Amino acid sequence: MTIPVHEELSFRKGKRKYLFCADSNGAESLYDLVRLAMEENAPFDFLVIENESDSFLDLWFSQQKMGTYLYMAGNWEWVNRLKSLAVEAGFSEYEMQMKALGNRSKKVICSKCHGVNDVADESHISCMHCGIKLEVSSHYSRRLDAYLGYTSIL
Amino acid sequence: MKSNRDVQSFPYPFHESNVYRYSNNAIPLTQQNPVELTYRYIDEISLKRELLKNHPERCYQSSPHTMEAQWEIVDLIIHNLVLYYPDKFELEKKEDKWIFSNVQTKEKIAFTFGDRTTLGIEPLDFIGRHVQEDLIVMMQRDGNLFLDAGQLCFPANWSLYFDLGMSFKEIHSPIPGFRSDSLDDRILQFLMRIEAGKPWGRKNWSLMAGSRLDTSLETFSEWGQARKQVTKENAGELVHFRVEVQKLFRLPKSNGILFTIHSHMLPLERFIQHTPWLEQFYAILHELPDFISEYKGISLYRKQVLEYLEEELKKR
Repeated sequence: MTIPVHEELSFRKGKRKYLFCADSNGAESLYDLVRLAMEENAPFDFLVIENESDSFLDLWFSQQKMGTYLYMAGNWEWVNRLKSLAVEAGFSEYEMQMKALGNRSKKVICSKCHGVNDVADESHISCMHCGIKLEVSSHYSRRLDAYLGYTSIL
Repeated sequence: MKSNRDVQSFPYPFHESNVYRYSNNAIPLTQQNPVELTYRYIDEISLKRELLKNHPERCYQSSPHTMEAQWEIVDLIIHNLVLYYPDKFELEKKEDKWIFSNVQTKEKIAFTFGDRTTLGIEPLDFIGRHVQEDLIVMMQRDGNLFLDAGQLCFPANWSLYFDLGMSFKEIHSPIPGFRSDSLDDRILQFLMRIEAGKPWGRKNWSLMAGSRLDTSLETFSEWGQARKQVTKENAGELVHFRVEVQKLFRLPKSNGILFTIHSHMLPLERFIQHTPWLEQFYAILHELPDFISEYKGISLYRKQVLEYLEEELKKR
């Protein structure tokens, strides 16, 4: 599932409950929304997530009732992790918004060892699994949500 | 004296024109067999089985929804094997109980047709171990074709692991010039119109420095190096002409398409024995646009090959 990542978050009125999740950098971008939730007298949880385990977050997401709306703000890697956990727990793309901060990272698959590398905007990397030099290509797999890194013979 | 069977059985890929461009050069098959046996049968299936054992992730991939298509492929290939090579393969059938015999490998395999548990491995993986071809399954849905299963031991520099699940256009997106004049669209439309019982075939060619069949993307760093070692002097021996004979079959029940790829290799010095082949290939390689030469992996040693061919032409 491809869920858009927003530049700016917008408040959705009339939800049963709101969840606000942020990493330490993202908390500030949620303050305005929290204020609006309070004005609505809507129940909400605000959680700054740093080192919580997947199983804790999975349990927390799973216990939410239908009609709960999720806001996330944090760096790319953090947002991608939270998003997958929320989707696994049953949240749909219509029940969440996220804001990602900092440099976007994308996955690059090593054509030699199939290892996954997190890459910002470099065009050449060394595979962190087998060490071979890779040229990041635009060949993209939806199944793997990753780009292909070609090995070179130079 | 060296036998000429390598040259005689080599599928020459060019027609009249001395100019090569990407095109849909498929023609209807006269013989409807999806696979063909050559004198290299035992060597090549042994190599396939070795690769499958040691590198299962890169040589075999499938999605669960291809199972019906996989059984159709077993049905199609086995019946063609016993029809065209009755002294090499046998099939006994009692309703769904099949016993398939490969005379050359002295194997006898009993299984229940349609019951994957009786085979031990997936049907496509099973039948692929008895033929020299790579087998690719494309499933059709939403007006598109998707690579959903394959047994691929001899890829020409691509990765089944990476490409699994991709649409036809996504797979071909790295080929420069493939999208011009909507060639990708026209070939996709052609493929989706293929009917059961009316198979098509085409040939694709390239050169490679070295003689290995398993030129997977995963091992490029091992075999790609030889491209830098080609000289005018060693080109005849080191550089190989590679032709893929590709065949396309519509599977009537699952509506999938079976795409078989038989890769043939011949050292350049053997390929040019036949003077018309030498003359035409020299003309084609000389005229070949850079973007095609680059994609086919020839650019690094094209000059050396052309010099070698020129010298050979002078001798005739």
